[in-house]
Amino acid sequence: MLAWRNVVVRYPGFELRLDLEVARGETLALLGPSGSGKSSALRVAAGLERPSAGRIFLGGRDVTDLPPERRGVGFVFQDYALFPHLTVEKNVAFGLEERGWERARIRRRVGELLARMGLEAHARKKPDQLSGGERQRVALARALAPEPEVLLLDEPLGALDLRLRERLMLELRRVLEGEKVTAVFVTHDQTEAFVLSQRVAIVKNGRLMQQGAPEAVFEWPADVWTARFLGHKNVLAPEEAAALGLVGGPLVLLPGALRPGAGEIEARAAEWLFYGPRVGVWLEARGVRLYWEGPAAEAPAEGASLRLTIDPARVVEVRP
Amino acid sequence: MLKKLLIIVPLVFSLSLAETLTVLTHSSFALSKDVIASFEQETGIKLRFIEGGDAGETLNKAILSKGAPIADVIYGIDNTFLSRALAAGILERYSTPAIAQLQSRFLLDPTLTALPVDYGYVAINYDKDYFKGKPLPQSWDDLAKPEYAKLLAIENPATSSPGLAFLLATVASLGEDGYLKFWQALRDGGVKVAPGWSEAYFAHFTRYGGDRPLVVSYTTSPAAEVYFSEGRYSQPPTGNLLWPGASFLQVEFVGILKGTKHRAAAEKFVDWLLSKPVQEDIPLNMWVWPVRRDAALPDVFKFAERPLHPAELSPETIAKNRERWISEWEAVVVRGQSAEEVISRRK
Amino acid sequence: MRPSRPATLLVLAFLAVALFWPLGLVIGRGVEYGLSAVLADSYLRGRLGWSLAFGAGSSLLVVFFAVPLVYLLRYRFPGRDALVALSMVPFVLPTLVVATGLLAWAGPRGLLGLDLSETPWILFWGSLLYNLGMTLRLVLGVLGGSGRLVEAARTLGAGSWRSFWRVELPLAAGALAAGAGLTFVYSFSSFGLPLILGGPRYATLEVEIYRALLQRLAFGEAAALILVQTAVLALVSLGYLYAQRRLAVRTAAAAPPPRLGGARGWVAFALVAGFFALLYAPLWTLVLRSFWGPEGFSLAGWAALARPQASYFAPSAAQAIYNTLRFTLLALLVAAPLGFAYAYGVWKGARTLDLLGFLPLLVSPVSLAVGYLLAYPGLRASLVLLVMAYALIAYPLFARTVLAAMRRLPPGLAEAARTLGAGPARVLWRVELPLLRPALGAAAALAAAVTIGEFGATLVLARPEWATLTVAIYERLGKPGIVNYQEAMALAVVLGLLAGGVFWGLGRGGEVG
Repeated sequence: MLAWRNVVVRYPGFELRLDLEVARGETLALLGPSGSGKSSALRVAAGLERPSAGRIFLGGRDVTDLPPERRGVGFVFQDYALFPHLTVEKNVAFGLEERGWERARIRRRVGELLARMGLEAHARKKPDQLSGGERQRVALARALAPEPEVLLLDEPLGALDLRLRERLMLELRRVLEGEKVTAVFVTHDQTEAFVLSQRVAIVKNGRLMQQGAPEAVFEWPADVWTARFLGHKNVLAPEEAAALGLVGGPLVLLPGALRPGAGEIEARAAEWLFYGPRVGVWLEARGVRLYWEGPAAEAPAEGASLRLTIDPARVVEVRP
Repeated sequence: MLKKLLIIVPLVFSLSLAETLTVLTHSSFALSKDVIASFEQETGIKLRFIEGGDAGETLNKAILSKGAPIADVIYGIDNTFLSRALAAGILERYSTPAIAQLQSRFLLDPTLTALPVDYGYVAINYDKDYFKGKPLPQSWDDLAKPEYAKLLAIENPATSSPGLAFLLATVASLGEDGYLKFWQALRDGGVKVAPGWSEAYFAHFTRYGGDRPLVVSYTTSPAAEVYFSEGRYSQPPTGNLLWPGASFLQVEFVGILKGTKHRAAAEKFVDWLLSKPVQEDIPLNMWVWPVRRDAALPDVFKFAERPLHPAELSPETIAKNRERWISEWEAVVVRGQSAEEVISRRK
Repeated sequence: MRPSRPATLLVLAFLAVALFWPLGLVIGRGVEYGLSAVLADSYLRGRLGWSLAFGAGSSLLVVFFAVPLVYLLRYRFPGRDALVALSMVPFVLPTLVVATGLLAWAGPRGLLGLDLSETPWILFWGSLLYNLGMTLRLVLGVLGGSGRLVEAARTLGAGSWRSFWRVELPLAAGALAAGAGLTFVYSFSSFGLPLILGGPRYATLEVEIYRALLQRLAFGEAAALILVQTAVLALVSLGYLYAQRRLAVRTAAAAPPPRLGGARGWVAFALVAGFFALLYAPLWTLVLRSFWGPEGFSLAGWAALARPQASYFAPSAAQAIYNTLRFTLLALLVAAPLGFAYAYGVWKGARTLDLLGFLPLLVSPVSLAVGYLLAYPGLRASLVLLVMAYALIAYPLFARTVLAAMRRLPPGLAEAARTLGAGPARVLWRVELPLLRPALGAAAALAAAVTIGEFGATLVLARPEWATLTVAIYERLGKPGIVNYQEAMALAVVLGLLAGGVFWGLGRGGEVG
């Protein structure tokens, strides 16, 4: 559906190289830290920037030379970029008017979207009278209104607080599924990427590091950096692995690899983190810091000594 | 430290005690730098000049501030405004000892409150290149013909002093009714009206890229063209049209303003202005003739003509009718009314 | 005490001294004449009608040309900044010089070959030439922050022109209205240009005020005319303020305009430069004239610039430049704090102050000049009065530029600083001022321009030793002779370069809003 073919984007001191494809109806997350070039990838796809080399394909068509308005993609900006001089409904209708839809059809489509987003009460308001979550929904409705083939979202939830984010994340997933739209979004938050997307592509310093289904990427991170970036806490250097009696390295201990209770490894529970339903415990074993998470009932008390086993089936070797 | 103060304090005092004389002039006033410096050196009086705009504006500013005069001396009242100045009673009488040296025909104020300093003539200049092989207009009747009217640029008498002088020349020569008919003909012929001398001369005159080879200016202008060509011209590129009555005499006066606190210094200034060195400095600075009989003229003034038969009107007549003439002129030239209409409305 | 209170008092005190009292004296002298007498006079009614037509026509024309130019100038392309700076130069040139240029271009023997003199068209050309640059700056300043919105419009299917039409133009409507409003104010009350270019037929009300006051001392008629003129201008300003409030939208902080690369950048340059070359042709003819004597190429005018001062009343070029810069600096020293206080007061909530800031633009300079004479004879031709007059004219423009930038500041910043323990003064010093710095530069440039252009100078009795570049130009044009003429043209070029340089240098940091 959307493909970056050997795309290169250059800035002074930075270069993005990307060769990637998104299938029809798929939701892809471009995951990476800030400055990794993931936003540029999105802007190039939308036509807001021109690649220095390579081509962009949309539905099999080479659109590299087309300006943004002729690509038919939807774009949700990080700061939403709502038109401050237009009301909510006028913002949503903007793209439909540009495409020359009939009045009645515009009214229908706008009404439908506002209803789905729960924005009916705000139809006549100007953007600066809305809350952050409402603005985000207007931006989404506006981008979706012309029924784009591809929806591009630049950190769509980045500017919102945690609780709102969780709610909107589910909402966004529902909307993306409901509209059956091909979607690519950019985020630096792995939870967001995992929850929303069917496929995650991890970008670092302008290079695609790894891609795949969220579960696959999480369980088989390609290298140490990716493992850490995805939230793995037990990433062991070869000498640490050797100290624990493991072979090879670097190694990642996936969740569930540590079994407190019995075993050869002596450890001490150094720090206790209470999360509510679960607790996290930092353990010290043979000079290596290890992290365990689980229900409070199973957790070792703070300062207690304990014995550990490591499940070899939950250990994966990664590239340094 | 204290010693230094003891030296400085009297110094500061003596500086602030130096008498300052304030002179209100029109913006065309000019004298050489060293001439002014010599006055300040000789008398110990510091001169401060204030420019009040054109001759009319300057006088009006003096009249407006009658109660609390903005200056001690006013220079630049001309004979078209003399009566207004005298009627306003803003001047003090001063019979300068220099009076014996002045040409008596310019002593237009018998009360000796306004003393003549210089004089000149407003007349029509023509572009010699343009009129090479073509006949010049020889009379008011000629000028009123469309073929000449469309060659002429004049100044609006309501806003310009040469413009007013030229209007007065037509009144003096053609009479109360005749002048309006003349202006009606000029209007129909396409005369160009500029707001002031600079616009008429530098924007409309053919010598500076305009389309009018005839322009109302001064009879000294041809001489100034030679002087300011820096050697390029040995003969003036322009000439004056001087049929009897075609020029108008302008005399400029100096006067001591009523209420001055520097009467003695003001007298010294007036005496100095009428002294030989200053009178001889005047021509090349202001392009007018000095009123002093024994003042020598610069060489280039041989190209400046003094008409034998300038138009004449007494200051009283001018004072009484000036506003009416201007508004009648405007009615005909600006608002396009007919001369008959304006004349019949007088009664 | 609210932070706006001292600012309000300062501005009010200044206005009382510099405006209300002197003007009140003039009007007070002539109230008995009555408005009815003016409105009954068909000639004066005609003047009013023409003044209105000239003001309205000029506004429309400026908007008509500003829109396509803004379309191009909102991009960055080679030479763009220089072109924008250039467009402000005419704003500061003396009327006589611009009029001479216009006549040399579109006069009877002009280079254009089409005689527009004594037609309204040459007047409208002059008005466009004077006011277009100012309007461009106002609008471009607002558009600085709309880049993301344009991108949004583009992804929604709007092409470059459509997104300009539907997003940027509505965003800039307030600034465009401001430009049109100021153009109306300047044209409606203009003095020299109609008089010189149109012949006496196209005299404006201000010309009649000048004649009534300074030529005939007719206070009654003048007072009535002043009231009529001020009433019209006040109405326009109220409309302008209303439009500002209705049309103003908050955009993001100014961002650099998007770059137009390669060939398209050069096409944009060619289009704007080509239009400017035509519009400003009267000024190029002046440059040519400074090099051309009656017998062809000549450097006499430029050589004359190096001449030392001969007459006490004919300032040398060096002295004139020095005076121009000195007074500009002095005026800025007064106008900048005053303008800042005014902008700060309005920003922090002193609404009444908003209209007060316009007053200096509404008052006829001629009547104010007479007012000063009546009110402060003791100050006569003093530097205090001169700087006050300069500041009176310069501070509203300074203030409006800064105010626009203030209104774009995120409101949370001041609050954040307050919670960190900074009082209002410290917030101003440590947070707001640093953020406003680019706007302050642009504001200073505009204020400096009106000072260099000497709108204020006519208010005060002049002193020969104060002669600025403008005065020097008039002095040269007051005497016959080719050298005087060429030197005047050379001085006009110097003045234009000086003003353009100030704009380029000071105004670079930010756009006017």
